[in-house]
Amino acid sequence: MTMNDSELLSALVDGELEGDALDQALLLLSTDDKAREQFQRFQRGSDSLRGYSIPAQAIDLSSNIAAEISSDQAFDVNVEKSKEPKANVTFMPQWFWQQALGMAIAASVGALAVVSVMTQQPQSTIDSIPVMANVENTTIMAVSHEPKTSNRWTVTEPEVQDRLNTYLLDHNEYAGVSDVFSNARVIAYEVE
Amino acid sequence: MQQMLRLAVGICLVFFSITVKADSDAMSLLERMVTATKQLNYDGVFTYQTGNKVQAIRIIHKANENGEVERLLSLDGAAREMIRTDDIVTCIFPEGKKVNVNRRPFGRGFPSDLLRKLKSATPYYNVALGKEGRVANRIAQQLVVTPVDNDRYGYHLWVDKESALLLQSDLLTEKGEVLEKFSFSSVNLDIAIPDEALAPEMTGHQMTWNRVETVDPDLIEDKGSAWTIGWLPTGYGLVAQQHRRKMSNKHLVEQRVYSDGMSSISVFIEPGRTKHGHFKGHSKMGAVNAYGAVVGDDFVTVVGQAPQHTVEKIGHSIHFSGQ
Repeated sequence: MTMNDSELLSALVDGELEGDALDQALLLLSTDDKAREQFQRFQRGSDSLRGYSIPAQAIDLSSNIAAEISSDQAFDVNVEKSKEPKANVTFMPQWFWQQALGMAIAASVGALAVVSVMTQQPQSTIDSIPVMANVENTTIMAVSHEPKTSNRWTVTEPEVQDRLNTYLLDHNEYAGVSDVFSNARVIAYEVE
Repeated sequence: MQQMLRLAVGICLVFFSITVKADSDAMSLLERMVTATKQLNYDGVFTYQTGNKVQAIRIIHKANENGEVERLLSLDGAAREMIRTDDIVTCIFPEGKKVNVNRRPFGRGFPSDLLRKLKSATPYYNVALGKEGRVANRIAQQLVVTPVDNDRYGYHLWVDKESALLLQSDLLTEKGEVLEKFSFSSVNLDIAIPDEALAPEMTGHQMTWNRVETVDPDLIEDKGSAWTIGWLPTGYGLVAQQHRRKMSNKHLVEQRVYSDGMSSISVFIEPGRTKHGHFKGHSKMGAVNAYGAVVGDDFVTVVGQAPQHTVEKIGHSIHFSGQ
């Protein structure tokens, strides 16, 4: 993977691509494993910067699908053991499944990229955007929505916020038994 | 029958003595924890969680005969920093290109009589040893701090068995729900911390430096207070009081801190101005609740890690009682 490829993927994560460049990035993702890994790293970094911590396993939609297909042993076993199929089953050769698997991966990566572009919308809409679909309930649960009770004063006027933050800083000097952590509230104060 | 009675009494006495011992051990650990926090050198990463929001923060703390220096650095989102020395708190907010410098009240943190206050807190909290566990790959002892009424929060504190450093703090509502959690994910103890590790990564170039208040403490005269707090939760007492002159408007702001030993609330009283609005009503940020009101010509704000109804009730009870 070249430096240009890396920049292309970075731009994709940032939602800056369109037209041919977008097509090129999607093609790269569907054909290059290293590019896919790099894209996922960029995506995680981007999510982390925005405060959306998503576990790595939730990102890797393509490998999840591939794993689901390849681990579907029950299907293979049933076909092999069935001496008298009750329906007309057409057995596909191995190369067919390999190509189908490749297409599935490419499609899933494409979908992931589209979702990535969608996530570049203003943050206020993040709540209602499903970041990704996944077959496992646990990974869906891991996609956290913006908390309704956040680490931000529930006031609108900037001047009032500033005053409350100043008060909070002064108050933290006397936070009590959990003094060691008290100023984390200031550091972690959520920006608009 | 008498033998049965003696046996029952004996069992009760044994049980009682065990309970008392556990409480005594718990208080002893709590006291060690408070001391360790200020006296140890440590460099670690902890998470701060409130609601569904989690933030990773690095903390570096150095203590020696010259005093304490502490640096906090956010690891997610904007790279904010805070550096606390014995005298000054410096907050660097790169997203707003702003640096705030604030003199620490009285030059120190929580009053030195915290240990005494902790002992006096026992009527208002049940402090007991909980289970043993592991936090940040260290063996930790849980301290279960349960309030006796609904006017305060409870705590589950996980204390390092070896060093007594607080490794995890869960702040609990009256229903036992975790409202706020601080937890080390990794920490190195008893290490030499070079001065460079306590220097800010951001130099402050192209930033606005705000001094929150005037520096000369001689200009700030402690005048006592013309205000009366009509109601406080049982066990809360005045632990600190100060007047600070704000740089922005030159007004004196009075801060009175009340504590029951475990947690505290601050009352801020600031002369009113017509040019700007003031915070009225209730607001919250994580486990910290605030209540603001205009009393006469002054703005009164109560801030503290106490339930909303407690903070509001205190706010409602404040009145001007004359010079």
